[in-house]
Amino acid sequence: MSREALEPWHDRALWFVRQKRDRAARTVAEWEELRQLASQIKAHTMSRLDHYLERFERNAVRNGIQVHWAADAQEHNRIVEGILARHNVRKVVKSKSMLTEECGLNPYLQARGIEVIDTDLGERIVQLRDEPPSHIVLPAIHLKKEEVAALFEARLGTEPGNADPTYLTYVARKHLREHFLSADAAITGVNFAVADEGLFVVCTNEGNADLGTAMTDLHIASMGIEKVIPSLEHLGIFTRLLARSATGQPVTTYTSHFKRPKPGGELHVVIVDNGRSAILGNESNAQALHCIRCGACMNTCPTYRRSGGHSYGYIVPGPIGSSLGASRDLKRSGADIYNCTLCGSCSNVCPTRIDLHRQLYAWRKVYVERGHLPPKKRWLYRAGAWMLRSPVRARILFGTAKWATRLLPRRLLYHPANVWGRTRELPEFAPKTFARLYKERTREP
Amino acid sequence: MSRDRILQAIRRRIAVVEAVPLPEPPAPHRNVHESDIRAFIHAVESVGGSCIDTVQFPTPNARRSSLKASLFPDKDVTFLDAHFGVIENGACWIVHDTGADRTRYTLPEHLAILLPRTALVPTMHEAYARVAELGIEGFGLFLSGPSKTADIEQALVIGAQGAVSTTVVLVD
Repeated sequence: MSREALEPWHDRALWFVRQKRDRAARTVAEWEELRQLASQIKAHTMSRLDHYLERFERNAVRNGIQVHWAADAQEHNRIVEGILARHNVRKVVKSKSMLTEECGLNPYLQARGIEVIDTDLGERIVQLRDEPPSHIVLPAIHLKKEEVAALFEARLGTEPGNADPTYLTYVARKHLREHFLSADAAITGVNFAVADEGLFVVCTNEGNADLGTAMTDLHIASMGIEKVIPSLEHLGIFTRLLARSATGQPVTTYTSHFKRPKPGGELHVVIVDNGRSAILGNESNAQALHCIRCGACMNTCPTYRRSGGHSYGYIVPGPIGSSLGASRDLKRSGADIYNCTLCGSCSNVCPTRIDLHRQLYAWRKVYVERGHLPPKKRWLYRAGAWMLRSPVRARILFGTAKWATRLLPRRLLYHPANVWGRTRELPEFAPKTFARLYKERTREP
Repeated sequence: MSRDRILQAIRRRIAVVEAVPLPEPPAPHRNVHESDIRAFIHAVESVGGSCIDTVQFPTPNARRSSLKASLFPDKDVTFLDAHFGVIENGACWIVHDTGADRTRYTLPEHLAILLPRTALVPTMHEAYARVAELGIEGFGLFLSGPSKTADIEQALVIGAQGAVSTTVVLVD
């Protein structure tokens, strides 16, 4: 089966998650109030980010946590490797962390002889396939169970042809437990870092972060600078929003609070900037730092649902990934920001009310201003703008297009120069334009 | 040093940002009623766990060893204690003693969580107010049902990596 043929299936799978999110949100009467609060808390924290990061650091150090700062991905990877090297770590178990994906930590450590086992089931699947996750919450959402079965048959020795998800999950459970038992250290991400307490929270459904950190005495947690929140009471708001927005659950199965190293163990936090501070204070995209990585914007996005996470130019896909990718490398993310339909659904489901579609629209302006638009498109847009600026010209354009699509031969309409038409059919024009219908109806008595 | 470089970069950027006031979170509210216990049991079941209310038993305050024998005669069950439960999501705030082996929350196949039947709070707002009162020593955990995943074609599988079953035992 080709990947294109899977499109309707992928679309439905994501829409199903979106519907679960809707049902969960409706069980909370004050849902919109919570979104507003979350947005304000994030805006406040970002407006005093230096204060809260220093406060978090001070309290974490008091708790016995070793805090490190990394300006970029390379420094993050060097710090992590340094800690692991000091403890002679040969194998590390890692729970889900988009930040370590962003930093390319796995290949960096593997090149230095350290084995890295991703322990979230979805992440382990894509790791065994040697591909990146296609979704930040559902890393293997692009795969059919038969593909997972074939992978497990080859790599974990499962029964040929057995694609039962329960069977496959239980084999993975056993396989991962062997790795947990033999690992020397655990790496996790951070969902929330609480400044007042100097503690951080990790949320999972599988319990893999808890297993990894419980089985080993060395725990390294990587967090972006935007993960800090002021105090415990704010966790009440974010934990109510996160899982409901992500998968429609009322809360994640494990919500774990790490405050001190285990007796005899070590706990490290690496605070990473890697381009984040440059987003702070930007009028058009600063809210991208309010993201709590629930994935709701992807599940609802008509483009993401049909194209899948691997079609994006940045490690985080979907609406939020398109904005984050654009702030990192605008030229490379042209396809992402232009594939957005500007429908605004992402902004409506975002638990922290990030103005996602506005950001993508704003990025297009910058994209054009910086001259990244290819000449052919630039000419097309200019011509289009000229035609549509005048009602008379627009009417002529639509009239001509209607007849042209009906009368011109296919060979001409789907000429190789029409890149758009390679995989698409032109829509049929309505017999009457909206303006015409409107005129006719308002004329009626 | 990267620390100072990062903080300076942040200060430069937020110098232009208008200070946003920190909003007041919703105020914690109300006491627990009998109907809340039913709502909590429902929440626990909806996240894949089960719940036993020992108030129905002839000797509700049975000791742990006899509970184990009467409730789980043929299962190897690890008992955990919870400070309180959350009605909206079935989560329990687990009692963690400093130095206790943290593998007991994830390694055992079956967990039984002993929860005082009136120690329930409506939502996570009240839950974190309680956590603040109790204080966190080194580690703290909200556990809501057994370990689960839907990573293979969105099919829900209970018992992904941690506990395969969790039973909340409401005690007096």
